[in-house]
Amino acid sequence: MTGQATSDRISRSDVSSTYRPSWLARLLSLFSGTGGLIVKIVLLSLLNAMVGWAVIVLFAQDRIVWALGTLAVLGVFDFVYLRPNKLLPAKFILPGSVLLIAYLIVPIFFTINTAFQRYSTSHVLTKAEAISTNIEQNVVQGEKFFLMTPSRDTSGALVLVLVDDTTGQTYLGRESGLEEIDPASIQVDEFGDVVPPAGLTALVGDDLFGADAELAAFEVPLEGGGAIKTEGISGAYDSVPGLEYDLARDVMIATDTGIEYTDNGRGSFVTSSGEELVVGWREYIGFENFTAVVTNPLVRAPFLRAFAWTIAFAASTVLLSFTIGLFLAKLLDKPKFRFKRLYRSLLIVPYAVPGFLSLLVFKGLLNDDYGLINKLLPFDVPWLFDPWWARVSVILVSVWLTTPYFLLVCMGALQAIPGELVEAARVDGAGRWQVFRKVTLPLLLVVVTPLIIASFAYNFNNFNNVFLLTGGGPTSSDQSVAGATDILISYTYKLAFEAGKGQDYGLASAISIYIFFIVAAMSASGFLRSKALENMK
Amino acid sequence: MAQVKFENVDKVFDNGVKAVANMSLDVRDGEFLVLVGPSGCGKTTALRMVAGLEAISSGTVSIGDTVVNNLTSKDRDIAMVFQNYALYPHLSVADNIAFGLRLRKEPKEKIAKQVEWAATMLDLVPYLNRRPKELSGGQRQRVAMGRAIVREPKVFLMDEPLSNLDAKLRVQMRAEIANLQKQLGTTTIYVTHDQVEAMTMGDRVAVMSMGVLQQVAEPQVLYDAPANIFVAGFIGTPPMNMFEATVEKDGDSLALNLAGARFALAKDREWRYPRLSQYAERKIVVGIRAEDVHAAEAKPGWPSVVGRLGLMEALGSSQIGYLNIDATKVAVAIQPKAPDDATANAKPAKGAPAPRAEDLHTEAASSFVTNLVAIFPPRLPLKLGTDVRITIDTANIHFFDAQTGEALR
Amino acid sequence: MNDPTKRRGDDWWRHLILWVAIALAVFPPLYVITAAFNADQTLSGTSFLPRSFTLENFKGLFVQKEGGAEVFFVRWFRASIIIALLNAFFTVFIGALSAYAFSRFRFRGRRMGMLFLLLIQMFPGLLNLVAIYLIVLRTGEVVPALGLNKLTALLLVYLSGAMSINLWLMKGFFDSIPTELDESARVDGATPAQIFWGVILPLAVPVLSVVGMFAFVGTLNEFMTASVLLETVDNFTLPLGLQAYISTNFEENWGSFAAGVLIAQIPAIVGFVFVQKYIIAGLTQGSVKG
Repeated sequence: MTGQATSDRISRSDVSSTYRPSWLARLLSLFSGTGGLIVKIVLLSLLNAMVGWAVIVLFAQDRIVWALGTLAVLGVFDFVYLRPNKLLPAKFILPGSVLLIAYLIVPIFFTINTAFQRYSTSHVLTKAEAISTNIEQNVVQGEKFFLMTPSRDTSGALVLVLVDDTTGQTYLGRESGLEEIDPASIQVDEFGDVVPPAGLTALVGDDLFGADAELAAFEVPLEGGGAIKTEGISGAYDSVPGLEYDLARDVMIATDTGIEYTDNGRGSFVTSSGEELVVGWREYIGFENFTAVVTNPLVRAPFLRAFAWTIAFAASTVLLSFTIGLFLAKLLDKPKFRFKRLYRSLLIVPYAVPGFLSLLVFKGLLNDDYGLINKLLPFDVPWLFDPWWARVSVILVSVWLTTPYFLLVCMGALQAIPGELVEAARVDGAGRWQVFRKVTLPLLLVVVTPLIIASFAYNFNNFNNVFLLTGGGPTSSDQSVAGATDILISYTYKLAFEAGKGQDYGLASAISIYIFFIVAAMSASGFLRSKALENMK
Repeated sequence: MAQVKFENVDKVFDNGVKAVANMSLDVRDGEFLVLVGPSGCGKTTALRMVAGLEAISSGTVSIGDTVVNNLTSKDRDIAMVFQNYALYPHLSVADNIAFGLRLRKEPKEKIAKQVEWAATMLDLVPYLNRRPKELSGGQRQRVAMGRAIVREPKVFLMDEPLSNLDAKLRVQMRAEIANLQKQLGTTTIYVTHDQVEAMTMGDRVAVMSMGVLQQVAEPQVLYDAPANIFVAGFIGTPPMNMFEATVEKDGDSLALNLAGARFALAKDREWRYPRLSQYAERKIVVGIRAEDVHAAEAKPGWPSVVGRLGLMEALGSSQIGYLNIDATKVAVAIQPKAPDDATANAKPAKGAPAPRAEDLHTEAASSFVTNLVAIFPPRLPLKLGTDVRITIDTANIHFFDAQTGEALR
Repeated sequence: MNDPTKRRGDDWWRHLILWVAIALAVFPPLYVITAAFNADQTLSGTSFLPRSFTLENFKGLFVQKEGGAEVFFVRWFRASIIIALLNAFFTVFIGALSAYAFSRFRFRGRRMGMLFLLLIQMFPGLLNLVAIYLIVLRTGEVVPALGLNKLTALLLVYLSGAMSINLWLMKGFFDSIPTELDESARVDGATPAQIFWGVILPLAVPVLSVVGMFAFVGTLNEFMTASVLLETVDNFTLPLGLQAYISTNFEENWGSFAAGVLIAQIPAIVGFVFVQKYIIAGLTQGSVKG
């Protein structure tokens, strides 16, 4: 009985007391009384179960602070949703807020924090971790050499039967440590092979070769640091730490030469001659990442190049797209123009196709060797190989992607301009071009300017258009991370995630913050123009 | 069925604006009470406090014997009709009417019965399956009424329910709503800025201005005996003429001195205004309805004054003349002042009301420098720009204190 | 200019220019179609007009070639669709909840909250990727389902990413729904939850559709975040998968790649068509009256 309008002439008997609510009206009862309560309790129980489990895991992993924090968040949820008729706004805002805090606000603070740190591939650990890693990695070979007979005990664990090459002292090497045994307990058989003591079986033949990888990774820890490591399948040697850490003086000392490495305050141990230990740690270094953009020539050059190119890329993309879009919109903006709808539909095809697909297709189309475009052209253009042509390609493809948007915007804006204004100007004797310049364009810009600024801000960070087409390449002559078509955002991405030249999270974060201020300034100007703030009563 | 009682109710908005001040009002059981006043006078705020849509700053509002200050809207057993009807565009007429009943989980059969009853009563049966946007303005208005009556609440609250209709429909719906209320006998509070609506519909009318209740009375009493300058100027079209004047005492009898003429006041006049003699020789405000001004030749022997005719409006059955006489006009501030912003803030979705008749009159009159409005019989030959001799029916003159604006009764 | 006295014949130059523009606009998509059905599967072998017709390229997406690499196209496609649908749904749902509160309730910090949302929206998502990577990494140590290489983790990041801009959009629309509708429902006895579900949401269908569609298409398009959080090729989304596909065996995979592109376009275009009628209404707002 519900739904669309029916004829005016429904007689009364047709509708007599057969009223049934439509499904939309039924939505109401779905979220009231018992129904709503059950939904609420089920959802809340599920949440409690899942989060509770996570808290238990956190406790098990000894992450007490995180466990308590998570518990507190859960408590907030339960508190808000179980209090009847109170805290109404919170009930609606909480889910969104939690997501926002966890994956947007916390990361922003983390990024800001990182920007003030030396935090890169060789500086990811804490200082304590860095010290122990340095000690572990700097081992030197000791003086001893052992003959080794790999064996297994009854449980199948690997046990090395070792005979000191010089002293003849005998040992059993287990994963847990080294145990000295009576030389008499092992014998040498007629082939000169060692027969392990009772309970152990020597590995021979295929078993031995099959255990090759296991052997290579096997270490027998020694008291006081160092370890016995295998060499091949029948030998072993002892190794000792090459570095010692002096806690009192906070220095690392090379055990053989006695050279001291001191904490340079920037996350590294260095000698007086400037030699650095490979593994460093995260350390606060103030504004160094920010000033590096100006002071460090290795950073300055690529940063400034990427910055200039970002501006050029975004500006030319937006201006060209807007101009072409406006031009096409003007062509179509004529009453009773034939095929108007067809033309418009075809012209916005690039907008309807997912951008990443178009970009990947263009990558193939513009391929220097095999691409269709070079095949169709009478001459070869190094679209993606030559730095300048690559820049041209990126802009052209971006314009191709952006123009339909401005076409739609301009068509809408042109329609919104009152016809009387144009007619009045014509009556006043203005020519077509004058009408366009003096009447149409200014009125259009009032509407479109905020959108142009927004589009500029968007393209300023248009990672996809650059990265999927050229990958930021081709590589620039100075071999830095930033390629010829890298905009700031893709340059930052490479700094942070592309391991090829070493990741530098600190610098990437600092540049991120620069980008934030640039974008915020642009957005603010666009926002003020659009006056959206006025709607905030 | 229940009476509604305001006791010393105040409403102060968060921004400090006082929208309703010390309001006390008894709405009787089954009564149709109209709250009238210029836009922003606090009448809508008062209504919304009864509805539970606005918190009560101090004082109490009770429905029946229950103080409802701390009850939510749904626990007050009221129904409200909004200016823009507040119909749910996505629901059919039937769903709209059934909305409140479904929320209250009434049994299905009862809902169906009630919807049918309301639809029949309001002539909406053929439209039950339509969406609101497929209805005319008057039909939408009736759907809004239907949604209120199916619930059979203790009190109806209506917030300018007719102001979105065109003039003709408004007159028709005025009668329909009044009739409906008589049939149902449900206590009703009806808010409007239109004094004609107030006069024609209300059992009693409460006039508000700047958050203060000015007078509560039957319509004719309001017209005949306004309690103060504001009510006098607000009720009646065209508005009452008010001038500064003096009353002279001559032995036992009193006389009004206006524009150089001396109008003797009859004995019964003194009786209706016993305090008038205390004001002798003092400046007072005198109020004269337009229909009590006559052309001098029609009342031979009456004292007369001269006025220059600035504007004439011929209405067919009568003509309205705007004259300038030698007296100081007293203007009544009907235009909204400070408290209006408060209401505007509280209801941002509501558009500005259309200009009212009295505004237009004031506007027209002022541009021709006239200070007196008179209703003359039709076909009386009057010429613009000439001096016209007029006289006043002293039997119906109103007197007000010049300082307080209160009627001298 | 609009000159009614002009005859239609004078428009030929407009048509000419427009056809040139259209040719440029549709050339790449058309080329994808021809390449997808072209029997010569290599990039060098393609031409704009296919020399012969084949469905082999499509088969290559679904069936592993003998001795060839494993194909994951179906998995990528499924992953993208699922995550895009879920993201669209939850973005609309959670966003509408918050937008309702910001539009209808008056509470402390409301104005500041809206401004704050605007501000953090200007923090480009990429800047956060390092931090998000680490957060997801750590979360995964506790709740593996929300760790690296999991679509659930990616979904949560997507949800938070566009939240504030969508919230603004929806709040603007909600603001245009007359408050009398809420008040009337309140007088009739509706709870805030009932008003939200029974009154506001049905009326906000235009803006919800638009936000949902943008979220859907945006997710299908997203490359950066996915590339950081997803590690193994079998868990990739479409953009990641196709990028990997074309960058590893660029030359010889071209035919299958084009076929994949052709299929990958379908969901976005379907979504586009589906909500087209709401787009204008959703973006112009305030059409609910009456």
